[in-house]
Amino acid sequence: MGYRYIPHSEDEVRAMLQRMGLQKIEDLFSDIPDRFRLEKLALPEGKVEADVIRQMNDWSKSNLNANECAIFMGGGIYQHLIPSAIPFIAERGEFLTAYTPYQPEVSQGSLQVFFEFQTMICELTGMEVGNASMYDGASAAAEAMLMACRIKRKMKFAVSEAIHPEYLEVIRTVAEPMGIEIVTFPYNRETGMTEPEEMKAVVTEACAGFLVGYPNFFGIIEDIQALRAAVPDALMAVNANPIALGVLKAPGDLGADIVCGEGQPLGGSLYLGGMSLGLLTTKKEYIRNIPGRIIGETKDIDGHRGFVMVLQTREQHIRRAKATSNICSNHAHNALVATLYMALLGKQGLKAVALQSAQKAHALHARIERMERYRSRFSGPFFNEFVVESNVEPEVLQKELMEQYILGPLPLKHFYRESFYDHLCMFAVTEANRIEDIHFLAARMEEIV
Amino acid sequence: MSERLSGYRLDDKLIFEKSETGHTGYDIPAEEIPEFSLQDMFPEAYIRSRDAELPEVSEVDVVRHYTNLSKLNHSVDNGFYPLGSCTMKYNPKLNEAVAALEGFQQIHPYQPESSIQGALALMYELQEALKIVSGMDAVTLQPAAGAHGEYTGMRMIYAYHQDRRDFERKKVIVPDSAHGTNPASAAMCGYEIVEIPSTEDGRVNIAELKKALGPDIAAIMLTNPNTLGLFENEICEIAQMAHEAGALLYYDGANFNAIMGKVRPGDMGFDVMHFNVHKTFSTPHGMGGPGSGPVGVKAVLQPYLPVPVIEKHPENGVYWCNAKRPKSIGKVRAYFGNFNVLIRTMAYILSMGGEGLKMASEMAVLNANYLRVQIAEFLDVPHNEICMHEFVADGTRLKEWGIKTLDIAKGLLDYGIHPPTIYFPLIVHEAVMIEPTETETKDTLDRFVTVLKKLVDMAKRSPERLKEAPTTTPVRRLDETSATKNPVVRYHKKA
Repeated sequence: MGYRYIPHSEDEVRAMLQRMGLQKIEDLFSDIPDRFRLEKLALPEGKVEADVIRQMNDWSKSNLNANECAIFMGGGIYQHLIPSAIPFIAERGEFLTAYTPYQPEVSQGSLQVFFEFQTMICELTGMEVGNASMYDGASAAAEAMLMACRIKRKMKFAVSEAIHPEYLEVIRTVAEPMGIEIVTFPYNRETGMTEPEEMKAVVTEACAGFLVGYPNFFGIIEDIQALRAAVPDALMAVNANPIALGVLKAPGDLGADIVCGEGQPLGGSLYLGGMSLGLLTTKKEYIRNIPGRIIGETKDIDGHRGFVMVLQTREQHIRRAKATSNICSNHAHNALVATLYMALLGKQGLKAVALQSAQKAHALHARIERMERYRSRFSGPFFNEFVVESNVEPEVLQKELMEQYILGPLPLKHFYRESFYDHLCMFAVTEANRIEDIHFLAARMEEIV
Repeated sequence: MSERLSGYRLDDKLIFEKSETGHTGYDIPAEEIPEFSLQDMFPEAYIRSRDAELPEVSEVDVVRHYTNLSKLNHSVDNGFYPLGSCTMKYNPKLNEAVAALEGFQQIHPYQPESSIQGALALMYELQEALKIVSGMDAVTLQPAAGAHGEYTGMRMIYAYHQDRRDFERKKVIVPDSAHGTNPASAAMCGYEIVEIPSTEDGRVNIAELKKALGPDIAAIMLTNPNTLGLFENEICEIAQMAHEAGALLYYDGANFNAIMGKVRPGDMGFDVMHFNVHKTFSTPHGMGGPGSGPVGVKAVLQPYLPVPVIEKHPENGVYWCNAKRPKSIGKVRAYFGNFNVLIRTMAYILSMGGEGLKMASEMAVLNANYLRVQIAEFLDVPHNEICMHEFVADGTRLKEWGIKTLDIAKGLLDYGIHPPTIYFPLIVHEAVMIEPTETETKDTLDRFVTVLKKLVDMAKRSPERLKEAPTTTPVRRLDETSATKNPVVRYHKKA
């Protein structure tokens, strides 16, 4: 009938209708009240493959893509090198077109991948339990907040002002109708770090817990051990960059109760921030409070090792209104990508990526420090991202650099109203930035007046 | 224990059990900068001393390990997947090809708008197309999944009532046949759930609904066709009752594949709906996600849409992100939404066009009814009337032979067919929920009927054999009870 994804011939349709004793297709839709019946959808005619590709190419080519540029932009989404093997394996139809593993006998591929994923993320974060994915870093942070309130049975939660501003927005969106009060604690505007004493004043006994970044939005490595010690009774949720954990101590080893984060840096492409992966891990004692799918090891009736979804009574399809979360579809396929990435890079490779990202960031930082018109804004230790105070209007700087095929830095005015941020911009560097690109960027920055 | 690895399955080890010190699957550029040592860069207390125990394996080992794992999965690309409520239609390869275009894949969310006009144009046009298909006035593409869309919709309803200072509406009505996500999403907006029973014929009970409606009700959440695959033909009355009582009407788009081009939620009186693009619009399910759950709203809810909204300048045609919307519920996730999924959605809509989408729904309904009339000849179908894209059979009668719906499901696995959804909806006890979708041929459907009939016969003649099923799958029935009782949810390196 001309629609390539619909296989019915006219004869088949006729035969099928006949088998049901019907005359025409319309007989199947007689329940629809006449007054609502639609004549026609006001959409264009369907296109052949070649024409869809042409249209898509037009759209795709009118974007400036990072492969044409050097990119120094982060803010939660980073360009790291992606091994070629990843898309080939991930795109296999057996992974891509499978549903949630509700029939474990024919889903052992998915289930074992998720079990390995859980293990890898737990290793990185220093935790015992992880789910097989949330939507993204922001929604994972909101789930961490809900989880803390559930565990402590308290309706107040504290968030660092140095957390990603979009994450804070999501947390507020989620908290409001639940009647959960969100309070924030400031960071030191010189160091970029949270002061334990200032945090302690905000994180009162009424708070279920608090959330800090590791590194925080500005790239600064918070002293989370000191923060933990300042309020020993509240739950500590840490939003971590998984790549940083290649060289930084695991949050679990520093007293975190919940770790959340954005998993895109683990092999995910930029995709406008759309190839996201929410990470969420916790201690064993909170296993019944964590939302999302969890895979466990078991045996089949012949004694062979196999994997199944466990603790499903936490989930919406069983517990409905009383579930730990409404999450159903998750970001499983992106979790596969992250698993492939961590397997390919391995123990040494991930460390090397983290080290080189930090080194290159520090090299650029040192170079910028020597320039007249730019100053480092915060003095605290940083990982692969840092904030610069610029005499050149940050948006102008960004625009001029873009003309030289450099993407970045990120003007912070974009996120904050306060004038403090007007001249601040943020650079992110990874192992994917070649040393010559760093020199090129620095040279262009020196030229711009 | 007997060795049971088929010729092509190399082993049943975890990737960690293949690790050899010194192996690696990837090289990064040799551009270390030794003048910045870890100690120079980070405080000693924050330098990792205990390595994360990631595996050490070569590229070929990784490729083989995961290729072999993939072969243990059933998928749409392997075979029939009539999973009710999940719309496991074929996922066109064209969608994958265009989603991989560099100009889509390699763009950063914080690039200036001028440098991502193509991406914004795609999203804007997709918003417009979804408005047309649904009869809604505005669409957001941000939600990451169907349930996330439900949440976003209900969150807007909450904001709407708050804005009107109508603080007493603390409850949401959900029929007992609803998807579990409906009550769960409403609960995440702080609502109490009022569940109303269905009528004998499987539809919304208007009398019960009337009783439940009042000044404390914020919304009614409905699926139409409902989870039994039946069209709620009194939807007009329901919408009128809801609106008269000051409640809004939510449309769960999970079953939208039944009605494209035939009837629109916006015309039926719904105020807000989500789309499951991974169901209706052919994007792959990816073992559980990512999907995408765009939400369409009528004008009353438009001010509350999450930010940013993609707009097109009426004069110069420039696309831009409107983030300054004072009544917006804010953000439900970071950045723009699952852009890589939205590209696939748009490719599908462009491929199908208006008539193609309508044809998809027609053939989905035809396929479902073709199965229904044949299956009803040997298995109970409680509401055996013309259904939409899916229907529910009931295996209760097989209990006489000691057979449960679960056993029939496991039996199908030995024939290379993924079982339908079982034990849902909850209002049918031994439910078998069958949704073939439009992308299956008559041949596939005929074979499914033959196999299912064979299994029902087996249930009666040799139930003990059926209880053994499956016997040909990579593993057999698994002990889920002890897996949950004593959960082992990660591997630990053996000392």
